[in-house]
Amino acid sequence: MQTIRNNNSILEKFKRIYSMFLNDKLALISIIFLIFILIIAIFGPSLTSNSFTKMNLRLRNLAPFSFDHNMMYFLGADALGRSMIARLIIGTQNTMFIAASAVLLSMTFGGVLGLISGYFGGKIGNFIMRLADVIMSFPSLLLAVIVLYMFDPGLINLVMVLAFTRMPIYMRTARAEVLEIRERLFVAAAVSMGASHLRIIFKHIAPLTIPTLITIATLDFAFVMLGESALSFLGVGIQPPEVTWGLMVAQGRNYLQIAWWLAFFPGLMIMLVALSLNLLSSWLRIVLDPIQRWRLEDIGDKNE
Amino acid sequence: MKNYLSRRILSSLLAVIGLFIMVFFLARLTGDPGHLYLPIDAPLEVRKEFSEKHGFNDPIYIQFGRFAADLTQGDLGYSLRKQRPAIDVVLEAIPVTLSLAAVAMTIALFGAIIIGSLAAYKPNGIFDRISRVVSLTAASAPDFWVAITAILIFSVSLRWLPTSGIGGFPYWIMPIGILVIRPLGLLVQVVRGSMITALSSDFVKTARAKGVKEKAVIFKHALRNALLPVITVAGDQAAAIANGAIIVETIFGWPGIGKLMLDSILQRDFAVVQASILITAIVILSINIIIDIAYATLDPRIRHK
Repeated sequence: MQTIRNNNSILEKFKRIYSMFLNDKLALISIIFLIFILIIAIFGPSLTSNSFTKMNLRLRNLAPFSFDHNMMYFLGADALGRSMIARLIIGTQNTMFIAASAVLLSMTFGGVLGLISGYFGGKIGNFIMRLADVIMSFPSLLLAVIVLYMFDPGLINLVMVLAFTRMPIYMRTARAEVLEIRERLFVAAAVSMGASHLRIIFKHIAPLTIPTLITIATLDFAFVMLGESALSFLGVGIQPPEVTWGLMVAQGRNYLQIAWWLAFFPGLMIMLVALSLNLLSSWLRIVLDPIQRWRLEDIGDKNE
Repeated sequence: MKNYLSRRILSSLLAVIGLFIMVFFLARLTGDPGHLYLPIDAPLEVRKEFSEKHGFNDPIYIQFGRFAADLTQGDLGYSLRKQRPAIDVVLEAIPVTLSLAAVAMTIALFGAIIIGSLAAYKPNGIFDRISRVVSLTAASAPDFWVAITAILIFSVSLRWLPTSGIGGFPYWIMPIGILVIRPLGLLVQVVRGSMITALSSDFVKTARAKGVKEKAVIFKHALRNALLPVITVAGDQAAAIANGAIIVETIFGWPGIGKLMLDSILQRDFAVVQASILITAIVILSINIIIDIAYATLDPRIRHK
């Protein structure tokens, strides 16, 4: 009964989600960190516009954690004397933008293909699933290297390749969901009222698959980010003078022995963001699962 | 079961053919190999002769037809870079990657079963909490970054391990360690999840009620059932390990299939690119089929269908 009453007001609902966050401290820290990263990605570059490319050759390979200079040099400087913090901030925007676009693209196209495959089944459905098998059965990194080497390794191609290689997971999930939803009564009702296929798929079935797809997307964001950084590391991703965290690691590799911080900090950022997404998605999975949700709800509430 | 298996093999074959056609045409679009293999000031006649000799002048569908015909006779073309049959070059590289991947996967699988089961034994206990954070961190770590950080620490600073190359045991430690990290992190999660489900199931309660020893309950009753989803995920990791192998082989200079493919793409050595993609795809799909068989062997419900 508790839940029914709570659902009545948005404030109550928010409070409930908040308390579920409080019961998983790691998830709380993750979401705060991710919001922080998001703010940096959106507003950071406009605050640092100059120092990102400004070279200060006297501060070449400046070691981190020194207070002798401007705050922007707290994490040191690269081989051209550019501030590490400024470069990390610009890298945040590029890295987040690429990963977000790729995830959105692959979720949309993969989701739609999965919906079609599940709804119509038969030859079309099978063909789409075989396509997913082909994509899955081959190392995504190599496929991306081939494609990016053939076309220019620019921003748009990078996003497209990443989106393409991550599509199968959405195709399979959407299909599996549709196969079950298709058999429900309200779909039969819509059919009997003469609704068109398009209307049934997008108006009646698609909205029900979205929560699952978004849970997957949270986790996938981490994988896409790791994929992007690996490609940039191999030299077929984003090209200088643009920066992403992966590219910064690649560039720092040449200075490993004299300036470890050039490769270390951007890699650390990649790991922290991926870890936060992982923690958040494991929290999300419990919240969305009615059988396990009690683990995060206040016991006191339950006895009320 | 037989029916299912033959359908599975057939669809895998179709997948290989599809992938292959795609790669053939993609590879041709990367540009004229003549630009890379001849000196810049090579006269036009030499260029023409080079293209003529290797058949790069013909329309692309004729090139494909000739290539398909050769393929049916087991001929995968000739490596421009190494001046040897492409298949020989690839078959030399495959064992390097396979041994790397096999050792890494075995360690990851057994490690995950042990850590995951221990974590599942007391959900939300102290061990479970620690293993959750550690395994999620492992699954989130960018392998290339871990690799160069490890080189920095163990090779440059401490001088314990060689920076790159192949050789005895010390040369294996870092590449294997880095390949293990991500699959281990992912598999621990899967083992933990399915062990928790298995341990709270009716057959475990029954076994306990009958007075079966705790060890037997865990290893014989729970684990055997919990392993099924683990095997599926481990199979999906076959392609992921190949991704990791590209990075690890590039950084540590191992002459495996990942490095070979990367180099051949950069050098436009079409025959080797195609041969290595074909062989890799066949290896990965065969692994998937073997996993299907293992799955059926472990689960009588599927075996008797």
